[in-house]
Amino acid sequence: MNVMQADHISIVFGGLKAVDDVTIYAKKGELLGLIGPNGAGKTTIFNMLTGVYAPTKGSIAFVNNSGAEINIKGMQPYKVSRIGVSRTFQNIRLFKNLSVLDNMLISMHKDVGYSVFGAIIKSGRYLNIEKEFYDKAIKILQAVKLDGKKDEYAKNLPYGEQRKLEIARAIATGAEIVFLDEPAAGMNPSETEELADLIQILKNEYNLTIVLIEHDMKFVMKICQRIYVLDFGILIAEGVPKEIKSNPNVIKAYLGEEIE
Amino acid sequence: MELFIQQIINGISIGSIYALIALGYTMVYGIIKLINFAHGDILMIGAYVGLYCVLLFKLPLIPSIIIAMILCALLGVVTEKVAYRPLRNAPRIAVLITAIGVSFLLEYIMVYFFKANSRTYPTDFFSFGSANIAGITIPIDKMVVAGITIALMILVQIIIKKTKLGKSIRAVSSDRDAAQLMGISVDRAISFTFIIGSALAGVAGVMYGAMFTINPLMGIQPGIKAFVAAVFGGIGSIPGAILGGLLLGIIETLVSAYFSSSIKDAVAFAILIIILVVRPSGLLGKNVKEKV
Amino acid sequence: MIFDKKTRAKSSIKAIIVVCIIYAVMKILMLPQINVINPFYQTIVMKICIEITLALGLNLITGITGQFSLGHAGFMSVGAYTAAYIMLHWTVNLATIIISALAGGIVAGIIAFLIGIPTLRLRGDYLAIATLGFGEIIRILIQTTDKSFLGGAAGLSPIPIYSNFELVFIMAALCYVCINNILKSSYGRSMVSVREDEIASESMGVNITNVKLLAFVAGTFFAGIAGAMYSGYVGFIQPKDFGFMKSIEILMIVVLGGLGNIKGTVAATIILNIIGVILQDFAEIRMILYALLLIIIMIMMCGESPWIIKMRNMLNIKKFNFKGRGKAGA
Repeated sequence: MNVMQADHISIVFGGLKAVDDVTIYAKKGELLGLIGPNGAGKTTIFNMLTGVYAPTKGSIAFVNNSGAEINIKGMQPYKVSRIGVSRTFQNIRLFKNLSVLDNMLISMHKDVGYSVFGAIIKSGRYLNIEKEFYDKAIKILQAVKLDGKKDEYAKNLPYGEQRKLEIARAIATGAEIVFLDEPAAGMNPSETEELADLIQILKNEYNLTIVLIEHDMKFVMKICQRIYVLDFGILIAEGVPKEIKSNPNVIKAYLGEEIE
Repeated sequence: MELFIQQIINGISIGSIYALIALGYTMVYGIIKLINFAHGDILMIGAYVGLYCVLLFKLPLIPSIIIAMILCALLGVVTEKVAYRPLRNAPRIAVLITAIGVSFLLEYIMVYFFKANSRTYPTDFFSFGSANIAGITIPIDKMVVAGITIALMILVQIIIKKTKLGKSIRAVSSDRDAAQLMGISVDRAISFTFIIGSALAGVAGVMYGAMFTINPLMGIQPGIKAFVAAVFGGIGSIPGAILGGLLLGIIETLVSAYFSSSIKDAVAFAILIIILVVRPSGLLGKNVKEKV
Repeated sequence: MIFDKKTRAKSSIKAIIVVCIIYAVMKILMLPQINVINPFYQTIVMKICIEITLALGLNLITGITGQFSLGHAGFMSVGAYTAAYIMLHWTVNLATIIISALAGGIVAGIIAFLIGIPTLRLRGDYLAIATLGFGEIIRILIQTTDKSFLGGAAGLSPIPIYSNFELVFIMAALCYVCINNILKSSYGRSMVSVREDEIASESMGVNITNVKLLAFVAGTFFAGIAGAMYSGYVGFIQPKDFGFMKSIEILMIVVLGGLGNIKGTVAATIILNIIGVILQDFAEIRMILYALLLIIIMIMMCGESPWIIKMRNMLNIKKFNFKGRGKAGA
């Protein structure tokens, strides 16, 4: 079953066609990679899939766990997030001046089940829901080994942990499909290895479909089940890691062509 | 018809003063992204300088204007150095609050030294009689205001477009870091922007003071109006400021002539809000979107 | 964090005791036999309570949610006029006082809602200017009303003097508790997240338009109530009392107390009013002092020059990060 289906999407900025007629899909529980040289349009595709940009052409649909197909074209990001689509950002967008725990709790605000008045009088519902949020946040933080730092400011975490917190925050929204924009950027080899394992664990534990953009080929080839390759806004290849590695178009895009 | 044409001329004269002030706003906004709240108060200082030139030294219009320009330019540079430069990389709102502080400071220092009561220029300082063109009586002082404004605007355009300093101002406005890497002195470009903007406010101050009355809080109203004009035309754009100022002046005079003078300010603010909501880049500005 | 009813009860009782102690101390100081707070100072105390409510409301909008509003005085005037109009037509008793105050808050909140929908999309300084414009439009519209309706430029009087120390004190205390509790809830966290990073919070499912509107309407609701109490405190209101300068004065309190810091807002209101009393015969000097404070605080807290950083380290001041500070609900 496809949980995400984007058909023939294109987007034009001014005169520039940043993404041209791209069709991609994700099956339930898949771990997809989206690779390509800088400026190929990878993040732009993420932005379209999460509602930040509306595609100029094409359609995007998600199928949630209850089987309903939802067309998200032109939907606002917060609504897209509410149907179970979440993401991280290339340039880390944590709430830097808030604690690790608050970062997590904000992701759950959409499920807030008490009113403002309930918050003011601290109603029974308020107590229950706050407790529920807290427990859920701690559980996810434990999975990424950040529960010991729950009261620290996000900005004070080391870089690698900030990346992990961003992933944890995306999962805390209750997402079914998560888009990770360069999760291993700026990490050293051992951190990257650890992250690869962590992503696998989280995917299985939370029953996620994951799509990730990454430049670290070792990382991508190791964990992704299927890979899309993008160059100049056009999809140039699709397949399992082995096929991608030997695809002449991909090699050309990354290394350039030899002039005879 | 005669009334209408006279109103248009009134509108152009007040509008050209707005345009002069709006130029300062727009240039400063263009270069350091600051709504310089104290700009209207520079105008007020200019008006006082002009007044004392007349009262103490009996100077005529043009020398008074030049002295006001020089002193206002100095004041502008000093406020920038002392209050805004330490906040060069601070959030925009922090600088905005500082600018509000500077505005209050100038106003109440003037209240302290010159008292809050309103004063007027001597009547012969700014009266040139009126001319009769094609059966329509046109006060010459209004034409003088428009004339001085147009001359100054051409001068500013030449400075910005043709001189090296103007080029550096444009470079810093479009990308401060890149300009710095190209060897442009950012501090000098910004200081120079404040010099031009404040000098224009000084001119506007003398003319505004001569047309109306002056007091230490007189800068607030024209200041806010000029800001509306700058936003109207597209903040950051110099032709936009001129167009916005003239249009605002004309709209305002027509509203007070044909409806009621008490709502003319409300109309100005309504225009501001409509522009901000519908087309924040203004009539001649360009649109910028935040990158994700 | 509070999760069970026992800790909730404990913290509520603690809050009630604190409020009662403050009230009792004030009351004792006001006794004619003791007369530390003489009738003149009593009016100052009432003014402080009204300004605390105003400033807390603005802090919710500007400090906590990060939406810069320069039209707060306009919303205060809506509350003030609504309540004054009601009290000029009804007999004064506790019920009508409460009704008129609530009406003031609600009308201000409704107007804020209508204004907020188009303008809260604007960012930072543009929003500041748009709210300034709306504040001025409200003032001008009241100014042009018919003399028999809202008094026009001449103002409304004589409004019965219905505010007293108890009323304004309870109002300020309730306002504090409300905002404090909102801050400790998911709503408070979502407000702070909007201030911190709109794009991230939107991607995490926060409806930022709703959150901004909530903060804006709640903040102006308190401004409206404070305005209502102000009417019954001065007995005479006119449009020019609620101009742009008044908005700036409230903003000044919020900035001096620390954006987003509600305890700081209370402290700043009290300190500025004490300064005001000391300098009551030198209004200009007071304003000069305020202006200097504003500039110096901004430079000290946000400045980047080496000597400022040195001073900051020497005085052990934390650098003020405008886009947010502190934990939500800590």
